[in-house]
Amino acid sequence: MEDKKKKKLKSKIKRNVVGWLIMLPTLILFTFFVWYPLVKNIIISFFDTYDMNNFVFLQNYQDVFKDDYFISAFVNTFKYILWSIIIGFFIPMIVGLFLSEIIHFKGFFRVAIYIPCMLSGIAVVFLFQNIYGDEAYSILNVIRSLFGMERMDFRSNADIVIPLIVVAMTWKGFGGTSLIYMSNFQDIDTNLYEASRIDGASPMQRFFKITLPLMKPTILTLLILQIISVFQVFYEPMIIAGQTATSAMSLMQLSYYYFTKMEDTKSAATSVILALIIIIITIIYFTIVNKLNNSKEKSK
Amino acid sequence: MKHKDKKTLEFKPKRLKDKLSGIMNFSDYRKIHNRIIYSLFIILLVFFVLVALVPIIWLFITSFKTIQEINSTKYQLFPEVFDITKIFKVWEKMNLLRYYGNTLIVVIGSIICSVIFNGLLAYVIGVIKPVGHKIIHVMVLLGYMIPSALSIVPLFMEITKVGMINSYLPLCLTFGANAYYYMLLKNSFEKTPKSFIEAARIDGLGDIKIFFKVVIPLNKSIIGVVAIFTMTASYCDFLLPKLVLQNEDLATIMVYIYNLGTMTTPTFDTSDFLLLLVISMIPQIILFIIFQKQILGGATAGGVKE
Amino acid sequence: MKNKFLLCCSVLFSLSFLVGCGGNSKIQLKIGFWPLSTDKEDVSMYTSWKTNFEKDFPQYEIVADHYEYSKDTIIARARSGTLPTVFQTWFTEPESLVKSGFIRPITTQINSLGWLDKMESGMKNALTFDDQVYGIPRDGYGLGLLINLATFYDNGLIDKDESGKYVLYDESNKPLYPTTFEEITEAGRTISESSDTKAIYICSTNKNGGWQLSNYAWNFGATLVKEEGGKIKANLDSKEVVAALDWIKELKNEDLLLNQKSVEYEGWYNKIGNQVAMAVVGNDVIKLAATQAHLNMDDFAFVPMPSDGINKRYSLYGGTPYVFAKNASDEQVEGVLKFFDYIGRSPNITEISKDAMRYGFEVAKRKNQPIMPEISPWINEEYVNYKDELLNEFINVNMGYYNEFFDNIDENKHPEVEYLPQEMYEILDNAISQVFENPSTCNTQTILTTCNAKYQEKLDAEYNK
Repeated sequence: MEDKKKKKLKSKIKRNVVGWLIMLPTLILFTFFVWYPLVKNIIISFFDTYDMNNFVFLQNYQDVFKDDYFISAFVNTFKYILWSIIIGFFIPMIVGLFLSEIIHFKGFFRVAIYIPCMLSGIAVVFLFQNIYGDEAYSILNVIRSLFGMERMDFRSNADIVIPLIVVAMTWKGFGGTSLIYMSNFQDIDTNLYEASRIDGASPMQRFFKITLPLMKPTILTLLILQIISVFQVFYEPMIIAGQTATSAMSLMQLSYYYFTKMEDTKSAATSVILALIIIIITIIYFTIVNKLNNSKEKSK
Repeated sequence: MKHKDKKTLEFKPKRLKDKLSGIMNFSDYRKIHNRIIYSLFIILLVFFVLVALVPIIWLFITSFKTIQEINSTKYQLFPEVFDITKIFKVWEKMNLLRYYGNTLIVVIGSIICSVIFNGLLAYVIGVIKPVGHKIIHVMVLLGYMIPSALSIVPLFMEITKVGMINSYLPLCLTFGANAYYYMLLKNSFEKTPKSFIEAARIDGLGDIKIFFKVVIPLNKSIIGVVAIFTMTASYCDFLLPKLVLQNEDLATIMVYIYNLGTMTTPTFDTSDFLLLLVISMIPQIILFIIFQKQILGGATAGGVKE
Repeated sequence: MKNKFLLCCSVLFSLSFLVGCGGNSKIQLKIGFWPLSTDKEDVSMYTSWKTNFEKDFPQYEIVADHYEYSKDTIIARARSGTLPTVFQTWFTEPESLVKSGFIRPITTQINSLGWLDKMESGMKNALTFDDQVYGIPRDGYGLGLLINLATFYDNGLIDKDESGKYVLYDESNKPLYPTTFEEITEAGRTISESSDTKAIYICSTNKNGGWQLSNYAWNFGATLVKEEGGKIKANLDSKEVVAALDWIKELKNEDLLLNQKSVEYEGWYNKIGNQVAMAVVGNDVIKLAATQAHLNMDDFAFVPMPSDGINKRYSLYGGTPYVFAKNASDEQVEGVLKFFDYIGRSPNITEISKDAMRYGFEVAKRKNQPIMPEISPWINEEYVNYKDELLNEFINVNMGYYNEFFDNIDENKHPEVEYLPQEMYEILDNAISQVFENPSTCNTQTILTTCNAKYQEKLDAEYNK
């Protein structure tokens, strides 16, 4: 009996050691590529140089807040979110719904819509740089000239450059999101529809009474993922609007801009601010999800 | 368009009649106005397909124009001569063989790193479950929440310190620390029947051998998905490669495109650059056609599982 | 089967890391101005130079390491210690490069070669900090006005003579093209009345706007920075600068500028064909109109900058220097300087450098590039003479349209602002952007007062501590 226990303990210890040894290389990679840079970023944001000569506490944050670039980048971030909700939020939902409802050419539609998702971000951005440009071949201007309008440079027009960047991002991403919506629409239990059909509900009523409420968690998750991805716009404005153009500068871009000016600590401070915003939004998301779950349980 | 769709409905009425699932089923389609709505769905989807494809087609057509045609104020949709050999000329002129070669090395390295390192972590945490596996799991996911691009500056500085600038190693290894692939693998590994692993253990196989001989063969499909995802991600990766590959000759195709696209005094003309964009898209589209099932499957399955 | 494939892949993969790691004892000279691999003709030219050099100096090895200087790439390169031994930059940059500690002085090396006195003095000044020289000039540029003569002719602004050449000057050699800001506006009005073509290409972003605006301001009589009682004082809100900005405002209000809210220098060559009639560019890039946009250089004239009619027609004067990375050793610097003979960039006139210079021109000719005078970095007689000899042989543009600029550049040249030029350009960019944004309602005086305060703040932080 004692012996067996000992043996068990021994094999348990052995498994633990072996387990840790096996995952050690991966953990080193995670440390090097993910955790350490993250922590280092937070730490240096309180120092004056990358080598951490002097502790300056919030000085970097104060400097950043005072910078005109930061103010426009901060405001732009919310413009990006707003536009990405207007442009990029409903389209995938609608396409996903249609895809889940149709039975003809379904395979073709899925494939065709997903193609832009396969392309690389850089190539897509340069593609749209050419579409939005003011050159004679730029397609938007070709369309304008068909209507007798003068050529214009969309890229440098501060009023519309952000929506245009969002259009480019949506173009690249909407196929993937649509497919996620599609599979979630299809997962809804057919019996629920059947029951409401017997009750005499119209398709419209079924959509609003059954589909939408059931889709709430999916919609919420995709919305939050979309918002987080919008925070990462970086080379899109850099290439489409210009490296230092404030009209579309994002916080990520600003962080990189500080780096190119050798102001690492300001760059770090900007990153930390951005990370904080993302964390806050994520917390709000979880609160809402919890509330949804709670109310569901109550109604049960 | 409309006409054609109606025709389809007329010729294959059986199929709508057979439709059982979804918000609208066969009983709804008995009503004519629902059928009209259905054809509206199709028309709108055709529209979205056009939205998805037209820019690519436009790029393809435009890239075959000469620079004079591109700069001319009289717009013509199609180039005067459609010279398919321009692809080879640009390939030759821009030295694309070298840059595709570089990219291939990075992509292969990334796939190997991604499958092995994330796989080993997923195996340990999902199957062996040593003390502290929950903490590691949470830490991996926490790192996932914050976009990695945010800490690019310290990462670049650390890569510099360990002397891996101008090396493909960090570009490949970074895919070995990916929380999303880890999650995909772990979810699948956990479902691997315990009996197989136990049997292998009784046969005296060590954990590493079990991983390669039992777990990997049993989870081929998810490993395929992770490999394909890594392949596209690594092919498209830009920010870290741009910082790490300082030497022009080492550039991957995306870094090369960026370098050329942001040059102040270019040594090539716009139409060549547009064709370079087209060429850079071709492998991805071919890949997609080959691995359609895995990619679309992965896109729908793995997407929301946070 | 599968295993073999995987094995092959991993072997290939690991091999690729080993390649290039072979050790050798030669002193490596990493050449940042090595042409991009797409430039096949240039690459083969450099390769032949490399072969010649390595034959004569076997202790060195020339390593191609193409690097295109830009504000954002320099940081990544310098901080990872991968800057090439020698690379090109702009004349506005050395100051900040020296301050950041990215480049090293080469005074002793070039002094021992006797090159210091042969260097053009303006360029030497731009490369000297604390009595140390930090680079070798490649060539200089002056800003001038590039005029599309075909457009002018089509709009009746100039004539052609019997031989079909455009007439730019009257009998008393007085220019018939616009020489003042006012005349540019007028010519622009005439052109835009009968066509879609706009008057002039005026930049507003990427520091290009401020760069050009500083030249306009000088020609209105402005002094942009002053030294007063040991303090550096910004002077961006003087009436002369306001007049320069007002000129841009007027052009914009009358719709004589491109219908864009921001314009960068890059890309002017795509517009000068039929979208604008004039552009302010450096003489070093004129050839891009031919090489990039395939325009005929004989439809263009390059003339000195306009002025307000009272002040001199100053030309902002800058250029491209070669600078040396901080971690370059003395031996490496000496090696690179020797290599300069082999590529025809040194003041020495030997058989080797003569051949190299000639080769350069021959390649340009073969590539159908327009060849016109350059602003010479070296002033020793034999260099200048040989260069002139080559130019006489190779020039392939109608110099009647270009002479006035090159004949007067020595007199017109005006160095860039000495104190934080890039910062000032960025601030002035903003001023032009605001004018572009609200041409009818903006107040140029207020805009420039704000700019002045911002610039002063930067100057104070840097110099007036």
